[in-house]
Amino acid sequence: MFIEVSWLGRGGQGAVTASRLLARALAKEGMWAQAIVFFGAERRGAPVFAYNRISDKPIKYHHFVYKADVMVVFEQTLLDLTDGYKRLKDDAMIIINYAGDITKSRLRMNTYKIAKVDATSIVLDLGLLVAGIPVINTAMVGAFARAMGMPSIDSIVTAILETWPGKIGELNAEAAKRAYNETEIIKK
Amino acid sequence: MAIYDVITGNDAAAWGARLSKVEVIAAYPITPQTTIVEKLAEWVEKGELNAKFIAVESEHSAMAAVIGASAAGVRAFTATSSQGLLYMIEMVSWAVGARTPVVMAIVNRALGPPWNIWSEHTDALMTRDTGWIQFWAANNQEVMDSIIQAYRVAEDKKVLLPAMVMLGGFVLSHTAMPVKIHDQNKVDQYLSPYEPPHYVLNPKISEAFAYGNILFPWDYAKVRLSIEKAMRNAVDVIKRAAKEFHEIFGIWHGDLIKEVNTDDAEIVIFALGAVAEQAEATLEVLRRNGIKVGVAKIRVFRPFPKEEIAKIADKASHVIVIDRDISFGWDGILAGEVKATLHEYKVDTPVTTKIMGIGGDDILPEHIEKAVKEVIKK
Repeated sequence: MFIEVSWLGRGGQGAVTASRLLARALAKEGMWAQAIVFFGAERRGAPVFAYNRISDKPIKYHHFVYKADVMVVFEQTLLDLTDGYKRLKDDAMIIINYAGDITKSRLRMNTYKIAKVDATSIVLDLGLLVAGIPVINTAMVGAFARAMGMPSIDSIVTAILETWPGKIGELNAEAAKRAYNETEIIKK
Repeated sequence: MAIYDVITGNDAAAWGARLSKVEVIAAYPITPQTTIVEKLAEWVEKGELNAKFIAVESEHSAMAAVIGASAAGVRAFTATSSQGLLYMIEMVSWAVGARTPVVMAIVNRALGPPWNIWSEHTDALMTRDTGWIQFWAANNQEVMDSIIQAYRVAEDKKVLLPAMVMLGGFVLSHTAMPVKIHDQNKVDQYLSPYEPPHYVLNPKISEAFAYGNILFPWDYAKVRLSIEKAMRNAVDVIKRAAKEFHEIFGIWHGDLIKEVNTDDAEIVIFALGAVAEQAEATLEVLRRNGIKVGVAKIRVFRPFPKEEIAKIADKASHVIVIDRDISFGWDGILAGEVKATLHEYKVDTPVTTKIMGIGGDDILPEHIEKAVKEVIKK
């Protein structure tokens, strides 16, 4: 098994942290996972990429992901802004934070497998905001687990609680669990 | 598969220092190194690491502080990158002459201008002739383990030289990957407390001495020769340190070199650090296509493993050296060393230099495959 993942978010939304959390959760299940970041001139709101490489064997590659098997998108405008589709394999899965009827989105529904979750509503409901920005990264890790069938939501919750002990961790764990339960996988 | 932590290279470097029970840390922040000393400062603050953290005003002072600490008889650590290393350089050289076995992590970063924060090896390679022992780590586990090994080697009474451990900026420093964090008791078993024979605050005052006075040419040369001897002694000390590390922790990163599939290789790739591991990953693809390629990962650049390199190159029909660095007007820095070595050992295997990944430009498997295929066409 060898899976390459791209996380596409905006500066401040926590895509980097999400990729690291996913790697930690996978490692708890004996998987080998890298979490890779491109650091440039980040600022709040600008598109940010983070990546994972996942395998059942140690990985020796040390470069960025250029053609992902899975892309986790924090909002659909980012796909257009960044030429995100060019960074996907032909049969890739897009896991997207989207509210409402996905068939009305601009997503290329016929080309890619899509998994959808309304992460923004989940975290607003939980009051999970930092500096006024809804923090959807942990919810999207939950959505990943549902869409990909790995890792288990328990491993994700454990990884979250290790990262942020206390109330913040519990809120983020709840966001991940709700997103896990609410993620819909849409057939092509 | 065993259960691992997943941490960045910088956290792995901090863990290496922590498990080595460093007693003084002095550092100045610079991207991409900063998170190493941030982590250490956090541990010191929480009382998880019993060390003195000295926040200094520059890298020059950071190295001066760790030299002072080491000369006074404690284990000291610092870390830097790129411009920070250049600013430190006067004291970098001093640490060697003063025979202070400090350990420094260098997160490799390109030199400006143009301003660039990404990975390149030229920064650490500029210290080539200072007399520091140089370890180049290929992954985060090796970052942590090399720092522990570096203290063992540096503090050995036959060596007493400072040692630096390199990790690629972002490629390792900010990439999280599985790392086994060792049990402290095992590290204590491997690495004894720092007991230098000569430190200034040695209570047996008759043994205490320091290097610092002016020496006339006839005496100076003798002292410099003792550094060369120490560097040569380091070869066996490094081999023993790697072997015993393997015995205690079950991990083998190589000693001065790590060879991968070099036995039957027609083409051997030499490289440093994560670049070498990237070549190792690519090698599997090339081998599947029937191309007999091997990788010799140069783990220790000083002392330079001349004999091993000559032997490996002698068996091959072609050598490719990948350099993530350049010596302007000369060659790739590693390639130049390899060519000189082969000349010395009368090995006539042709050597091709490939300079890649300058200023953080991503080194892709296809770049390495292309380099190999070009050699085959010749």
